[in-house]
Amino acid sequence: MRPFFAFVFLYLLFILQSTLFSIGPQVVLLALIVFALYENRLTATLLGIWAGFCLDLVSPTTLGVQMLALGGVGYGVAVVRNLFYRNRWHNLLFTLIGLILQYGLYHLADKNPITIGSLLITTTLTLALTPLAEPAIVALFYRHSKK
Amino acid sequence: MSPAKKVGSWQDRISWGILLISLVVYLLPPNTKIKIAPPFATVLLSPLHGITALRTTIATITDDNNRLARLAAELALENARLKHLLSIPESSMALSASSLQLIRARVIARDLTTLKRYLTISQGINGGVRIGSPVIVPEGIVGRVIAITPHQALVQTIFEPDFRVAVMNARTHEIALARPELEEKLVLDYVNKDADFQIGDTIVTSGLGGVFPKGLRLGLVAETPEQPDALFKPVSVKPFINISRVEQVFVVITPVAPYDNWLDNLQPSEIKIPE
Repeated sequence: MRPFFAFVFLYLLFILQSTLFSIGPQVVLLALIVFALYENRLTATLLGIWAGFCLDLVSPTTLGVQMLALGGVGYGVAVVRNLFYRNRWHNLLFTLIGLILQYGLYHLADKNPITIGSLLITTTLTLALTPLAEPAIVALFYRHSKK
Repeated sequence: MSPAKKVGSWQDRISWGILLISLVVYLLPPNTKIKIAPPFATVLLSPLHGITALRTTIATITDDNNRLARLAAELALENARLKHLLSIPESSMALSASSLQLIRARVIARDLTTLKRYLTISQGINGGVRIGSPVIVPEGIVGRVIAITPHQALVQTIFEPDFRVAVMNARTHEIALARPELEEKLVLDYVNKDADFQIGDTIVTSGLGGVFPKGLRLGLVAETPEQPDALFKPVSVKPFINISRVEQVFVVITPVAPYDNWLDNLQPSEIKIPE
């Protein structure tokens, strides 16, 4: 049931992000990274694809951009998480890589460039929230997990 | 190969397959993407559209609310001003008791010389205004109508040099005739030397002459200089109204008295010339 709630949770975060934060933190990305740290590779990839698909529907001409970026982030995080002992800085690194992937692919796909101002605001806010994301999602979904 | 490794490998393969599908979707031409997206968008973005519509509605309601608040403030101001205009003093309210009718009118023009001698108001024959109708504001008399058109009337103010009005001291009922003087003052003529006029006494219309009804406020006695050699007592009156600030006025419509046209209705046989 937990993966199902993760899908629902990501969808709710997508609604929140798309309505309340026109320029704001990428909460979907933050949640996805945390889920990818705790779920298996396939689930992490599917969660990324799902979240990316939702985000892509807002702008159909760039369909596939967020799917590929977030799917890659989900799978990548799930793969590399066991390669080294994690510390709090690794989540910041994952978030930064996720943002670069998201905006890099978006920039390649869309002819309308993202303004540097909005990019800086989004990046700053997302990185600022990164340390809070894992404790919050663990408290919600993985309280009884030994991982 | 360990079972964990096997699980990892099939998960990896499916994951790569999904990512490959994503890459294919990413590489699709925009026209194709636009065709694929709508059915999913309708379902998945419906809460988003609902929330966006709600936000738009809230923004519209907020705008409407602000506009209505501004309008309410303006109307409250207008209401207060009109209430002030309608708060005619008790002495002047005697008019309504005597079945007189008040017609409200706006000042639409002023004379270009001193801005105080004549006013043009927004009511005329069609509104029931007649030549000679008194024009007042709650503070006091403004003047009287001297010319009319169907929709406008020209008002001779109390500061016009030819204006005259029969008045009396509200306290002592001593009568006099008021006429304008320089510097927005009025003077009273034909005041008996022994008449009791004190500074601060209220001067109201006496009703004599038939133009202005009795009891309309005119002004306060400003000074009564002693002039032992004068035939009449000089009395100076400061009017209640500030004609420069008058924006709305009331025209007093007096009923036509049955004896107004008594000469026209008189039969020749009834005319008796005294011997």
